[in-house]
Amino acid sequence: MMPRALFRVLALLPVLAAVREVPAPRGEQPVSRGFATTADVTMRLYVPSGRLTVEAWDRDSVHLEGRLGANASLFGGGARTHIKLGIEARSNSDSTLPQANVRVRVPRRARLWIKMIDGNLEVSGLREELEAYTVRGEIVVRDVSGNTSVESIDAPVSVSDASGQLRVRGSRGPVQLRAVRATMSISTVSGSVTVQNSAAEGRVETIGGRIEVDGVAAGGTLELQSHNGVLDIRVPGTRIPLLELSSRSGTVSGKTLRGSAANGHIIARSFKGNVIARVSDAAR
Amino acid sequence: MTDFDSDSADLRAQWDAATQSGSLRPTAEEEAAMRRQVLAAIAAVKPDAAAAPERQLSLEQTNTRQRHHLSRQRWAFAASLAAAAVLVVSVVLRDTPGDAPRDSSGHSVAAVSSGSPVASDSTPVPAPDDAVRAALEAAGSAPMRTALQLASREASPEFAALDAAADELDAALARDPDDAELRAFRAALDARRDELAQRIRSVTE
Repeated sequence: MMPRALFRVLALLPVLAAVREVPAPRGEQPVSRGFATTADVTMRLYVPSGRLTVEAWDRDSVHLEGRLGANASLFGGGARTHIKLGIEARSNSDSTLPQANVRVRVPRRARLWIKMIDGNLEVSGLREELEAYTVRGEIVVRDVSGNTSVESIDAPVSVSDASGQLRVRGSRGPVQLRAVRATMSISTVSGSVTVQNSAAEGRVETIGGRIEVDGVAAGGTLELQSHNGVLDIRVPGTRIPLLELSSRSGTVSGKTLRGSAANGHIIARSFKGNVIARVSDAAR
Repeated sequence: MTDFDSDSADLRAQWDAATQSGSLRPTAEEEAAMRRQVLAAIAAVKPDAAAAPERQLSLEQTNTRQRHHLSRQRWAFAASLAAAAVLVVSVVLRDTPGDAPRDSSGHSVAAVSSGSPVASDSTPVPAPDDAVRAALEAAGSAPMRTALQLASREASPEFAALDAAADELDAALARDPDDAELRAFRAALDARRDELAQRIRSVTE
């Protein structure tokens, strides 16, 4: 007869083996989670490193899927109206930023706050509110309206097909805006700012970065300012806006262009950067 | 003295009398009867065991079995304790930081990011201003310190550019302190500096 104690120990062996064979939190892990929300859910997303793609959809729910890095785990919580999801390090003593490669689908009218540190962020389709932040990597925003705010230190920022209120705060990374029909507030330190195919108004400032614009919203006012960055203004020959150009110690060209306030108003001033205004080749 | 205590005293007296007279020790007849009862019980469960002479149990043998059973229980308890200890040690070893990275299949693990992982290094981090320095000191976790160091490092050249521009504007303002446009340029510079510092602090928010 097998002693009962020996039987107990033998019965424990598979348990011990299972404990050792639990997938170690070192490898990449798939993740797929869904949450019922309201259509205008307020949401916060935090992915320190990796790639985050956010897409709007016409559903009242949030779905997150992708893969978590070896040192990452998913955290979050909330209710139907407020959700917070994020990636955090498994160990606070591990200095490597936790990584993830995830796609998050959110209601189109969601109010979204996103933070990354070093990664690629792509957002599209939102209609209400977006606030995005990263230190390094890249931010790409497409097809948004409402209030959009993007902040970066080193990451290039690209915004296209945007309307409403657009705010970008950059530093070194270049800022590219295409097909923007918004009231803008854009600033960088040394990063360049390019505004193309846009009918925008508002203010663009850099310290040392080059600013390129190709027009202004009809009837709107666009102010450009730099410390020593070049201000390069290209306007359509058929709709030249009113231009006010000045540079205290740089050169100014294009003062002879005569425009109309009905086509908009561009005020460009620099402390020591050159200011250039010209008719764009495409509309000559 | 309560009734309960009185009853206990009576029982103790009966017990003492019985043990002194040896009445609690089984007589030869009682022992034979008990042996028959044990054999009958074994026969009810395992008839062949009761029939086999070599397996017939005396009262002493039964007591020995009982002692062995108690011994096995103690051994089982000790084994269970040992197993639990092994369980705890294995879990601790698994979760201890610094354990060699591995996945369940033993293969190397591909990074999910297209970028290289960011880890702190020994490069001295320039502290652009007091707010950033304070944020660095307040960072609680290693990943947060890495993030702050990255933000501070990336922003450092920008702060230098802002400082250089500020020097130029201050020199111009020293020559013409009432120039409103110069003051506007200077104010814009301060605004950019504040925004940049805020973006670094935002790492921890």
